[in-house]
Amino acid sequence: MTAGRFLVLFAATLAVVPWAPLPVLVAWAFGSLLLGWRWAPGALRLFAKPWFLGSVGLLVLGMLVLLPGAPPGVRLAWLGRFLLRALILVLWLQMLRQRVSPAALVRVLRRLGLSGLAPLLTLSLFLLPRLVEDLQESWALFSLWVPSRRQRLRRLPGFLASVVVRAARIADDLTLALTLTWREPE
Amino acid sequence: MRWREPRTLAYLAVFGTLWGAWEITVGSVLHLINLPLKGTWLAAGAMTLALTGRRVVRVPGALLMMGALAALLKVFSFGGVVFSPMVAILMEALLAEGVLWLGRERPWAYPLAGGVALLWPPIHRGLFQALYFGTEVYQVYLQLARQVTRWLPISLHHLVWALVVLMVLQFLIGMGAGVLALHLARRIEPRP
Repeated sequence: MTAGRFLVLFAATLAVVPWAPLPVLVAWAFGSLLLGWRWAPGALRLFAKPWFLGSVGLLVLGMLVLLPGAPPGVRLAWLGRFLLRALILVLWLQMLRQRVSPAALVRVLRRLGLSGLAPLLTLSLFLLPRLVEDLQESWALFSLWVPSRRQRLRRLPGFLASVVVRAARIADDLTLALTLTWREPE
Repeated sequence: MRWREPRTLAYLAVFGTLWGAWEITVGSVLHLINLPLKGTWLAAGAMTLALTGRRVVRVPGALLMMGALAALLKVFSFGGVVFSPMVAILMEALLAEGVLWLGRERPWAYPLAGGVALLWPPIHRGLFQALYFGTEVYQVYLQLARQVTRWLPISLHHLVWALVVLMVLQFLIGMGAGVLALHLARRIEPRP
């Protein structure tokens, strides 16, 4: 399956899942599992991870506590719908992250006519590691400079100012590079 | 500044990426240190960065573009939950850009845009819970609120007022983010 077709199906899933009745959710979950098994088997491994099972267990417990007055049939149907929704959404997100690469996403954006966003995403993917590293360094220095958490919150504007100034410097460097090699983005 | 100029593209890319990087890194740190109102502080910081970039670029739709970029980057970030923050980022960008458009990008529109964008996180939480738990979750909340009024000497009106106060607080923090963004943009804008 191509990234474009996958994204169309993903959009359909997001549109259907919140409102679908139980039989539709069962069919959708079955189809999603089948697709995951054939197209992105790694995505199914998530369901065996302890943190995933633990958080689902906690949510189920929380819901059972919150619904003490409802009849058992209603509680069971609700629980079923919730578990199926969670399964479908988590599975589709895992498939998206495993099988749709940033490069494929750029190609899809171009094909959709979003020609402005495609070159921006390309630039952004180059910039992300540097900016993430910059932010982590700035935060580490800020935490050393202001050890108290309460003080840190008060001085957050100062931290943001330092981040913005560093980002502006990177943007000016990039402007220069783009000007030297300028041609209209494809 | 216009679209498809090197400087516009560079600032859009850097500030959009910065927004995404902020959500990825500072977001995880804030969740780890368990700060009260962490979603609010995270959104306020993100709005400050985005509105600063928007003020420097001054191109209509730039904030939406930066929001789309930040949301797309969130897909490729580490961590399990990405879909809900992605939608939140897009909605905040849409609301802020809408206010700037209505305010014709005058300076007073920036704090207002920040305020309106920060009203979204609590609304988002409510709407998104319906996506996972179904619309029945609102009945649970109502039941819970009624239970609280039985346990404590307060009425449902008091709870509604508490919500209103929370929303006003969110709005004021967002306005603060907008004011800070104007101040920061003035510092980095090139002088004639």
